[in-house]
Amino acid sequence: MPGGDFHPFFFVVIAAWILICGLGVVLFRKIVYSAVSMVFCFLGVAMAYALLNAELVAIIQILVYVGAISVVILFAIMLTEVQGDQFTLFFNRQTVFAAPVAVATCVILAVMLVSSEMTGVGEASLNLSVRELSELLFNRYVFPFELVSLVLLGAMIGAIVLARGEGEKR
Amino acid sequence: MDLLLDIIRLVVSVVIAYVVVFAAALANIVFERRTLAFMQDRHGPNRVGPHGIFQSVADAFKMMGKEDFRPALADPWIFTLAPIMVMIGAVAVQLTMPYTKGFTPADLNVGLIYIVAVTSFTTMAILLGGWASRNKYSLVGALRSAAQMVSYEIPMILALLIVAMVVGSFSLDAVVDAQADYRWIALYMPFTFLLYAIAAIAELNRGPFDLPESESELVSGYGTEYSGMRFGMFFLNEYAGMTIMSMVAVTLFLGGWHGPFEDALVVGGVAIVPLVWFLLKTYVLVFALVWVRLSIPRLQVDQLMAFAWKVLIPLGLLNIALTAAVMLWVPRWRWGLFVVGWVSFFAFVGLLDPILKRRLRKQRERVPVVTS
Repeated sequence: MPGGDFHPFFFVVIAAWILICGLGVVLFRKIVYSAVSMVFCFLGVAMAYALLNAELVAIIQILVYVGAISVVILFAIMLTEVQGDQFTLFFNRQTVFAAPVAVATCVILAVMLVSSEMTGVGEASLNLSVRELSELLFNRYVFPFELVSLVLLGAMIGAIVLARGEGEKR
Repeated sequence: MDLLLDIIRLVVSVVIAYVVVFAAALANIVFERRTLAFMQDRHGPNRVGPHGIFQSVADAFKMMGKEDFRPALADPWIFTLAPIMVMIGAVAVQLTMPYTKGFTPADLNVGLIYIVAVTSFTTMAILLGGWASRNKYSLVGALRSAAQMVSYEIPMILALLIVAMVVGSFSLDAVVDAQADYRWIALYMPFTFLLYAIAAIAELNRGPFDLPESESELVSGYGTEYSGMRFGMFFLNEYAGMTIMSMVAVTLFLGGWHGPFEDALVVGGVAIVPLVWFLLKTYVLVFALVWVRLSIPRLQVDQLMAFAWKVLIPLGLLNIALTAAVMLWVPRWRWGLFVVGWVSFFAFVGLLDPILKRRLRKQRERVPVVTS
């Protein structure tokens, strides 16, 4: 990115931003507020990527998560919303199961990050160009890549089957 | 100290970007009103300043002076947030444009994807604004807008991909460099340019794709409940978008700042002549946008969606396959693309109208004629 160096100060600001927005997603009672908070959370993650010199990942993050997924989520909320504010409390019975899972994920991630040999922050070796990345994606890792598209195809077919409804002949 | 300088530079460049976007929007409003008036053989706004050029400045002050009104049922936070978010896309795209020789504020090596990514903020702002107004017309307008922008983003990305394939890079500077010596991409790939232009007009929500705010059906769509400067922000975004989209199109397809006498006049390290070419080409396209709006009647919702999914996207994919085949197998592939591009351009322009008319005739035959 233009500007170049890694500033711990910016990273702290962005990390705080991500955390606050993440809390917002869980704690807001109106579902649209949660969705908007999630958008800002995604933006924060994109900024973190940009700070770590991963331009492409940052921009794909914005394109896919902010531009497509969030819009579709908002779209779905607005189409299905029951009129006259439905307030939903997010702390419900699921908390019992969700809390241990969340904590376990945190622990596993922390252990992995500490134990593995990671490259230093913002170093050039992390910053793959688009060309190198696509060579990896379409040569070496083409099988997982195609597998992902199969998942998407399955989701699409599922959506069409659900949308058609039962017993409808067309 | 270094950190402080970085922050100051950031703030200054964003402020400049905002000023340029607002100025462009205000200029475009007067330009469009005067041009429409000229085409419809009437006068248009001509009282404020010479030829009415200060009309939109006066309008802006009027907007700012209006009461800050909010409907009782509207969602207070999101209703306020949406007009703020709506400008992000226009401003962010601006920061990466190659304006003139050796002057690109921020040359990202993924500039092409960046453009698509940041313009999607506008969709979200419109969607949120329409929802927060708590008004049926606003919501319908917002949903239409979101559906339209998500659909037309795909043909636009397909067209951008072809540019990236031909240039071999996602960087906007590289795209402009590849078009030196009049090898403008639009000259040898007119069909791709046409696909991009159609998708871009739809992304802008401008006529003939201005369904999200079609007056006769939806009052004024997502902007119905907005007034004063909040409405002004949506309005400005739309008109700033004209300039931004034209700038992107010029950079990608019409050679960017390239033109004759590139080194004739350099003031303070900035080449002036290329900048003039860039702005001139941009405003030719802005004029074309106004012209298209006036000439082509508005589509229906079903036609709009069918056109994106059944016409533009298959053609875009076919275009990619053809371009790839030509680049792979034809030795002098630019000439190959030239032939393929112009043939498909004329085929599309020539066949679209008869095919649409035939379909329409068939539909009419199916509906019984009602005589009173």
